[in-house]
Amino acid sequence: MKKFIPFIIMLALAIVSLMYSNMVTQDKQTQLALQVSEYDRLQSVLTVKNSSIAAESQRVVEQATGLVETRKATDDKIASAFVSDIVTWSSYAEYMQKREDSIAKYSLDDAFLKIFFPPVTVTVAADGTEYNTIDVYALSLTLNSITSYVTQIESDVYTYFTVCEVANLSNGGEGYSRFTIMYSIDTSGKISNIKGIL
Amino acid sequence: MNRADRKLKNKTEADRLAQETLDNMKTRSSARREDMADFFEKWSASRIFKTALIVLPVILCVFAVLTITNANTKVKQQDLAILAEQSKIDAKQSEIDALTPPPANVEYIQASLNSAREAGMDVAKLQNNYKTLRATFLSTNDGGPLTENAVALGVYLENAADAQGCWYYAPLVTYEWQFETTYEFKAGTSACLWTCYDANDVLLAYATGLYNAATNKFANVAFFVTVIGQGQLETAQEPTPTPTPMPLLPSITPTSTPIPGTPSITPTPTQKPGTPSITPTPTSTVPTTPTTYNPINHDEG
Repeated sequence: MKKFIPFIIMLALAIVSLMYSNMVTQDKQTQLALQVSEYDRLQSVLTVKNSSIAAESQRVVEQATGLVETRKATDDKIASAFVSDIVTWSSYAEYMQKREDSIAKYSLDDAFLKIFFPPVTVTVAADGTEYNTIDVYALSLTLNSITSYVTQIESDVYTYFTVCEVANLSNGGEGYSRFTIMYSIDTSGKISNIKGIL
Repeated sequence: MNRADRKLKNKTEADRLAQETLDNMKTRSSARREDMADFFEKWSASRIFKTALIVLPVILCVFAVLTITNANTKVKQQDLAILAEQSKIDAKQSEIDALTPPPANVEYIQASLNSAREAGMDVAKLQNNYKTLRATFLSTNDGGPLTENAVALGVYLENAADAQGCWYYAPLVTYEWQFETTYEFKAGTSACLWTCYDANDVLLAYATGLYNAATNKFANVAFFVTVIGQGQLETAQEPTPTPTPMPLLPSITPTSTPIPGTPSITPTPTQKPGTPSITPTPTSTVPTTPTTYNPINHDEG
């Protein structure tokens, strides 16, 4: 029997070590899972708290200044569509089409048209071929972004000063430019009193 | 010895060598069998059992040691993961604790916006000061007041070096900087705008910035000069009485009307498109020029 003792002791030791290993790692695993779950809970709390703060903040700002953020967001979309209408073109035909459409759609005065839709000089060769500056120089404009500032709120009419950034292409060369427009938008989304300057 | 005899002798020799090889192989095989028999005789079942009783505990001991070592390594890794997770939890908790509660009330926001307005108007006033201060500097060559003005402006700017200089200077034009009313207020900050109009209500320049209610300062201040404003900067002797608006396309004269076939601009049949008769500048379609203008470093010309 004596000769079995080392074997039995070692067998017991092996079993105990296996149990210890499983127990300890399992314990840590559980601890880690609890932590992950706690982190997720805190993340949810943060999200809810942020939303609540934003909503409350918006409500108080609205009370203090009369500015409704959702209204401004809507107005920005309207302004963005307007600016996009006037500065997005890549050919003479498209330019002229946008010019006509914009004159019909928005009440643009002559001063505005002179800046943003000046007449394009068309030269005619002896053989009758017409050349216009836009197509000859492959000019094109694309709206990049607008940043608007509310400068006045009066009877639900918001007046804005907006900085627009456009990308311009000319014979394949690209550049970026900035211009400003001032306009008012009423509750129905009608844009008026449009002025612009480069 | 004839040829047939030599052939026979060679065959006999080959047969003899083959027989010898076969015999050798048989002898070796027999020896191996004897060795195996000896081996199994030595390692009888009882001897194997006895050896196992010695070897198995050693193997089990090694197994136990390896298991414990492995468990410890794993636990250390898990401890590190737990620590990392705990620090993430702490950070998130701090973020939650640091969340600023909504502005206490309407009065708080109004007070903040009033502060922004006051600070903004001060900045506009200091910018307007530059015009007279520069004139004084030109006659007295004393840069002290200019520096003082810049320092006073710096009080309102988070990064003074960016915008404490003069934003716009046109010596022969009447213009005024003004701070536009602020409406927006988000997380203690307010987007702000300054405009600079001339006497004819034409925008010459503008500046933007972000007011921080906590510091009573403006950050990210950037200023821009319009094309007309740029033209007034370059005015050497007299201001343009009625500035002409610049068209979006610099190559197109706003007053010109398309006159197809007009002799004066009709190119010759051999002329390629884009001839100098139109003289556009294709490199810049929209000539808005953001300008950083510094009175102190500006060359008076």
